[in-house]
Amino acid sequence: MNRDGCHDHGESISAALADNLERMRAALSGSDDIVVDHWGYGPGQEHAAFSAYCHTLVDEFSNHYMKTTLQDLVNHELGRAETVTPEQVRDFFGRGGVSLQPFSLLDKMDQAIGKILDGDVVLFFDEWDHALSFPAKNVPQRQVTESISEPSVQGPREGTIENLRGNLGMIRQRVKSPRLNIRYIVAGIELQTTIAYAYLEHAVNPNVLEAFLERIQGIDRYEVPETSYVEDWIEDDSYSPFPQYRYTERTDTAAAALLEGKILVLVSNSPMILICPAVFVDFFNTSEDYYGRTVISSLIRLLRLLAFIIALTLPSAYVALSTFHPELIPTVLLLAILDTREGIPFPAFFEALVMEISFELLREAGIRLPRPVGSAVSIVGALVIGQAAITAQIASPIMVIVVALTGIASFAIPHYEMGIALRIVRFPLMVAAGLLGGFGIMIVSLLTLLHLTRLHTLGQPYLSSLAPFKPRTMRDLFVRAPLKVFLRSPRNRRLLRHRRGEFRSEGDPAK
Amino acid sequence: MIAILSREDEDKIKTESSAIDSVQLACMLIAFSTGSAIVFIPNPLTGAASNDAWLSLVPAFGFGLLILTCILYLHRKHAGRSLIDYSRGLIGGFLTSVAAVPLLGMFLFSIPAIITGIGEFFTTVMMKETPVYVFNSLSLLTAALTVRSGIKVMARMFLLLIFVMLFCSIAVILLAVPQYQAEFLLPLLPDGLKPVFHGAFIAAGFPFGEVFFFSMLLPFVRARWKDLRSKMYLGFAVTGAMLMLSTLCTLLTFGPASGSLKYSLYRLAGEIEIAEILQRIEAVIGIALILGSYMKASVFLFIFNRVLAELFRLDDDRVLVYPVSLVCLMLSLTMFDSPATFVEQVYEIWPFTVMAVGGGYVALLAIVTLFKPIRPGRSVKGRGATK
Repeated sequence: MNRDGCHDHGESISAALADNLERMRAALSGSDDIVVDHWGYGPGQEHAAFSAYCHTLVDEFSNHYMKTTLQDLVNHELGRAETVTPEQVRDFFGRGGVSLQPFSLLDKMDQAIGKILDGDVVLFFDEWDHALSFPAKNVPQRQVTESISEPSVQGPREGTIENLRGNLGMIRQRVKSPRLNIRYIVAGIELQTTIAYAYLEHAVNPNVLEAFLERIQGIDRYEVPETSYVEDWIEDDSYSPFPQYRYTERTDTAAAALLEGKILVLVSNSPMILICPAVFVDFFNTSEDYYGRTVISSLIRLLRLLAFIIALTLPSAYVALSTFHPELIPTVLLLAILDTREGIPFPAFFEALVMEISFELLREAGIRLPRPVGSAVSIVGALVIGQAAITAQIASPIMVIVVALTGIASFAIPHYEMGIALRIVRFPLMVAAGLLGGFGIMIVSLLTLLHLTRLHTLGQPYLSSLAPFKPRTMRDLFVRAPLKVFLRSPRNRRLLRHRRGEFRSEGDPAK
Repeated sequence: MIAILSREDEDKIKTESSAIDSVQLACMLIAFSTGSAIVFIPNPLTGAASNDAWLSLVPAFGFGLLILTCILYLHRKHAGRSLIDYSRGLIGGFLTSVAAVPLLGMFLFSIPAIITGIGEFFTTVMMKETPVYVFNSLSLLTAALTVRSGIKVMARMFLLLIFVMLFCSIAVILLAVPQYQAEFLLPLLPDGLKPVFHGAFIAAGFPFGEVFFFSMLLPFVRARWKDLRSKMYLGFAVTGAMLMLSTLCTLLTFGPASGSLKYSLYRLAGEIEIAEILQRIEAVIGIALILGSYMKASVFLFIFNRVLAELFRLDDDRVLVYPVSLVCLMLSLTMFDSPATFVEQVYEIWPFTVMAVGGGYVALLAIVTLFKPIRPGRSVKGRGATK
């Protein structure tokens, strides 16, 4: 598929200028932002031409290209362009003459319209069944800034923007390998989004690539407004709460993912880079783990593991222990808990549910509101309501601590999508704990684990490196081994093997 | 609709062409034989052999090793076919069907027994007011769902759960070190060898002899013979060591009294008290017990389905999982009137059945294999017929 969205069929451009103008106007449904400038050229200005562009896409003060085009045909100052004949134009541009400006030669009306809508200036000449188009797009764009969703203290700060080519450029700049393969798909009829996928040849697992290519097939028939549509399209299980692909807005993360043999998917006008496949353990790593010192990074990883366990099970464990197994709580602590729970009319389960739901409400309200108002919400919600709930004896202070700790722990998981997944799984766990105590927690945990073990991402087991267990990956799982280890034996053996094979065959005189 | 169908088919193909490696199978062996036994076994053993209970594990382990060697030998001789499959070749279809009747009966006893183990533990120790069917049905449902997911998923999952289970047990055993009193092991053999052999009889049946069921799982392994053999023996040794540890530590803490303490490892965990904060960690053993029983029940259920599928030559062995589970659930609710019958049936009748039926069957097949020449090509043909 050509990225210009050209179609081989369709009406040709006519040799009659008026006919072209009429057809173009009709095709563009008379939109007011299409500007048509009429020109005369040739001896006595007797020949006509027009240029068409979309003024919302094109910088108004940029070249309208008529003069530049004619300039290419004569050596000197052109005056009023009286010496150029249509034959010269046809001859020069039709044979691909060297122009001052990059141009493309069009012969189909659809192409011309596509170009106009893509921000090109298209020139039509009379008595010529071709048109010339010059890229002139200039739309306002966000600057490259630090990624908001993945800030870092150390390491590169560059984040992606809403420009596909710019994003790919930033990745290409980091990965100078000739093996980096970038492919485009144009999807949809109205949006005509460009979907780009990129992978490092020989690093990517061929089975994964095959599964990916098979699944992405057919997406070009549909409108794809954002990367998440691609995610859902190629996903194994859309009903699973667990994300099967990872997003990033950092180009360094994307480049590292390529080296690991992942496939990147980018969609025009979105800064999100989809990394696929992503296994469960990927969601507990950040690029900063590799920029910090080994011991600190390892300890932080362990802390995240703790955060994961707390975020998932703390409220349900509290409910189970206080309702069903008070004998398992050390006596002094039990007395403390009983003391604070005195006079509270609700059972622990109900209390936990109310507090968790209000916390979720608070979180959702805080995200959607404009930032200055958001902080007001959190003050009102967290401080006032939290304090008031305790004073009014609706919730016990210990429950507030439990909920707050759970919230903080879920924020400590570096990837937002995994945090959301935990939010969802936490509630069935709480219900099970409220109904059946520790046994309920065990059963729901086992069912969750079963689901995770069954889940696949692009045909690869989702729990890969834990189940199936791969001892070799342990160096980069709960702890991070010194970077020397990674440098000496890279994570992606496939690429290494390929390179070694190459070197060997080069050094082998027989070959 | 078409997309949904094709994905299901894909899934089916994935599980049908399932193969697990030798480490995974060894882990399933640990899960299967350590399983619930690690919590349950010290009690009947000390009941029978008092403070020589740990000694009786040695002959029992020896018996298990013998059975394991037998099934590995059969596996090798018959080019990776399953128990039912080569039994048909060796003693004929009719005799195999006859032999399968007590085998099926064993499944219908063991799965409900494991499930009852969970239910009884919870109703007597942790949640006394909840009706037992809640625990039984939920555990069995989880096991059935696991079996439906296929052996690959089971193998992967159990490898993780084994870590958790062994970690829980070893943590308790280590933390209880201050409670140990070495004099509880003395005197050695006060009543001669008889009680030791009584204990050995129980242990030979309850976890160790059951290994013969694994002859149904061996065909799923893709591994080199030597690798498979060493991993299986290693896994079995881990089981032996864990059970030995659990029995020894119970004895060291409670002495001869542990014979009357049900769930002695659980009680052991209750004794732990370190620095006022590490106390009351019985829940850890509760986790180990649920995990162990769940894994054991799942493996049993899987093997049961395989046996049924091969006996009746079913194409889809998963179709029977839910009906069979329901039957087992009903049995688990009705089979044991009281904890006393449970103890009697599990520690007296079951060991005998395992030795007589399982041990006898496997030994018979091994002897026949030893003397009956296997014509080359026959195994291939037989394999093709059953697939």
